[in-house]
Amino acid sequence: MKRGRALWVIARSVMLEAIRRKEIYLLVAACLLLIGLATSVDFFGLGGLVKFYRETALRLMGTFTALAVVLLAVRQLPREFEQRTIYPLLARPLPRGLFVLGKGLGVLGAALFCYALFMLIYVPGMWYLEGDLAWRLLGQHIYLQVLQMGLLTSGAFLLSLLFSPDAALTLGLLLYFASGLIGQVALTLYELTNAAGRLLLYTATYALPQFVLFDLSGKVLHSEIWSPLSWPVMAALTGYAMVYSGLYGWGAYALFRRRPL
Amino acid sequence: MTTPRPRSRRWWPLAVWVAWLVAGIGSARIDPADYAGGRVRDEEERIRRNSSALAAMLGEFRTSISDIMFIKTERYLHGGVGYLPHHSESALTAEDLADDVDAHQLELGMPGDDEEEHAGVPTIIPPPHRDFRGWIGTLHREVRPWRDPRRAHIHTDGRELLPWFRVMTQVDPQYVRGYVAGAFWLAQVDREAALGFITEGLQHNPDAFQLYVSLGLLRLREARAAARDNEDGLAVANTLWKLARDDFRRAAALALAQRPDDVDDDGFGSGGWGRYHENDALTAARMDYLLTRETEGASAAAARLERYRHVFPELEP
Amino acid sequence: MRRGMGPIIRATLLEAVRRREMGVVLILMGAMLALLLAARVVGLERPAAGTLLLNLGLTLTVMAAHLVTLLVAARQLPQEMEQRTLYPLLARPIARHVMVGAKWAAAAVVGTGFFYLFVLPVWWLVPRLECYDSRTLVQLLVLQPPALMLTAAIAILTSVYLPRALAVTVALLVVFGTDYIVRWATRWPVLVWIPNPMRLNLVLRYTDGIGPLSSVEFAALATWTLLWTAALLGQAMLRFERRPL
Repeated sequence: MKRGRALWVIARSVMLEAIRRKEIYLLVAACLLLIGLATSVDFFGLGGLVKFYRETALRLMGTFTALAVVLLAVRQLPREFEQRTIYPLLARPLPRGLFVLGKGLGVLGAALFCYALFMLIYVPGMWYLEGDLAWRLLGQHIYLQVLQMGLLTSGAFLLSLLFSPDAALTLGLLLYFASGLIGQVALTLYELTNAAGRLLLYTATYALPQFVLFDLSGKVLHSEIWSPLSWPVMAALTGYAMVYSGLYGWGAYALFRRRPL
Repeated sequence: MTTPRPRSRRWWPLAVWVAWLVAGIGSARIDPADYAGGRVRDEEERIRRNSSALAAMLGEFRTSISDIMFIKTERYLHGGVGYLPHHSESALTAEDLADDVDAHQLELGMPGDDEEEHAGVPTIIPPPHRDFRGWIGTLHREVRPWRDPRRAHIHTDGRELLPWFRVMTQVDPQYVRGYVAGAFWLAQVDREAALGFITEGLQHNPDAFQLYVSLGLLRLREARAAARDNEDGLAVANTLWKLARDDFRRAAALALAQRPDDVDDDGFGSGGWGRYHENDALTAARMDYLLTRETEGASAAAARLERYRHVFPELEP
Repeated sequence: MRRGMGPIIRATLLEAVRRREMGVVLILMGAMLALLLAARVVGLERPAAGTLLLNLGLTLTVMAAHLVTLLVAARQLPQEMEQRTLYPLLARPIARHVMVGAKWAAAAVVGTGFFYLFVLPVWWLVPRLECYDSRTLVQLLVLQPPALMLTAAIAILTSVYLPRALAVTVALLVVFGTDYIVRWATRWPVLVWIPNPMRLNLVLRYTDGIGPLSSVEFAALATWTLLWTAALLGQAMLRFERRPL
């Protein structure tokens, strides 16, 4: 019970700090500005064209939430050492694993707050354009985005303990944005390379996070054609996110524990 | 702890604002990307580049905005499924584009229909037997729009492509193909708007003869519709035929002025002249001849034909 | 060069080379070169594919150079303040605006060095299978240093107004997003007052096989960039002079 309370206190403090600072609101404002610019284009005076808005909004929301997650996550753990706030923490009987988990949940909470702000704009926007919200697919997409935020948080924690904050930020965003490209390159090269190359590509595919698996926007966009994902698929994706988040989180915890004070 | 600004630098804020103002004004006028032509806008070059193994490896990743947006329109047309480029080179001219897209129109409102058309074209995400990733590949195919390449393609109606053509031509007004293809799709829902779109394209690209061919084809459609729908349709159609004739005549004149002397039997010549340029030039000449015959009589048409036959001997009366 | 600028530039350059960011940027560029090599493995069966690869390689090099410049510039002043190394610096007879200028110059030098260092391997690795105008290439190479100076000024300016992480984000959006936004949102002419370093990126012009800019256009573009840089850097200097430490 005490541990649960400690976890809640750490997560809440990260979340509150993120919500009180200007970053999230500026990111939301920048994203809304871009969505506003996208919708300000006059499409030959024709109404009922929702897919452009849907795609632009979903992509920008995903991108800016990822940006918020990486921005928040990369500074959480190194800052404890830089600002020497780790010492009072160590004076308490609080396991470091719990501390890392609390920080991760806090970042996730702040990211959810950010995504919720976006949704507050997206849903009325779709209603205004008289487009179908495709609730079931959209619900699944949001759920997968939450899983992705968790994966990105743990990955960013790990990178922040391996590199400086700026470098971790760059690498985190690069891995996020280039995930699809890396996968496509691996698929093409696999057919052309030898056994050693194939082993390397196979290892990289399973070692690197596959963020493309959590982007259902393509099906949400063409929801008149595609059905929601089946429960076994959703369960498999949940399992993938849990296992990989756990592994990266554990790596971050191991580095955090061994880091000299 | 702030430092008071020395007297000698009191003019700095004003200088900064003036520099900002002038630089902003310059932004609207200085643009190195403001040039006509170029490989990235050339359709035959696009087909060659996008059907290469390298393009397959890059998937949807491109650095050129017109490439990105054209790929986007293909995805929309196929319900989000990513295929390797498969529209044949014959579908590159303004005239053939209409035929190609007309074929798609037959499937309007039939998403998921199992027609045999285009079946067998490889998908960007490979099928299970060609995917080494195991269950990650399986999940990838579930999450993204994907369809077994052995099955026929899904074709959506082209209405939702229109915003992309609008943005594509706004970002790159010299991208003639964007106007040609966009106007065709637009004509399905609003012919007036389509004419306006082509006219806008001509303001940015006054020498693009393909746009005059598109304009002529649009006016012919308009004339057909007028003759069918209106009581005084024939009079309206007559006026439109004359306008279309003038468009084709203008297109032919521009095309002949731009056509190099060294065009081979396949339609390729120097300076980036390709088969689709040749086909559009031929269409312009042929349509000018036919419409002149309809509107001005046989002798005027014969004179036009004579003018074109030294370039296009295949033109017959 | 103003008195006191030299040592600050030297120290900043040394630090930029020693810090782990440079290692990571090298890893990124390594990844890019690996992509180019992968493309060579896949094979360039058509000249058009060669042009696609050349465009990709040069574009990524330009973007990486701007990214490096931006990261180095954006951290300079906030870091000096966070680590409290600013006070000993300011205890010397160095004006604050001179320090801002020195930091900006160092970031631009790092970016320029990076650009020229990596454009050569790309040039070497990618076969040129179609006709390109070498005069356009020369202009492309000559215009990148001013473009990087502008990027450094943008990053320095955002860093004196915003918290560090946010400054990097805003600078990234401005440097890499303005070109698309301005062309897209033609209804909003006010957007021309956002700086746009990517306007000096002549990669597409070069790989499109287009000839060079005329001397008037070239001079106008260079002057435009210098004006933008002066405006942004001047504003950063003004802000930093008035800023309480």
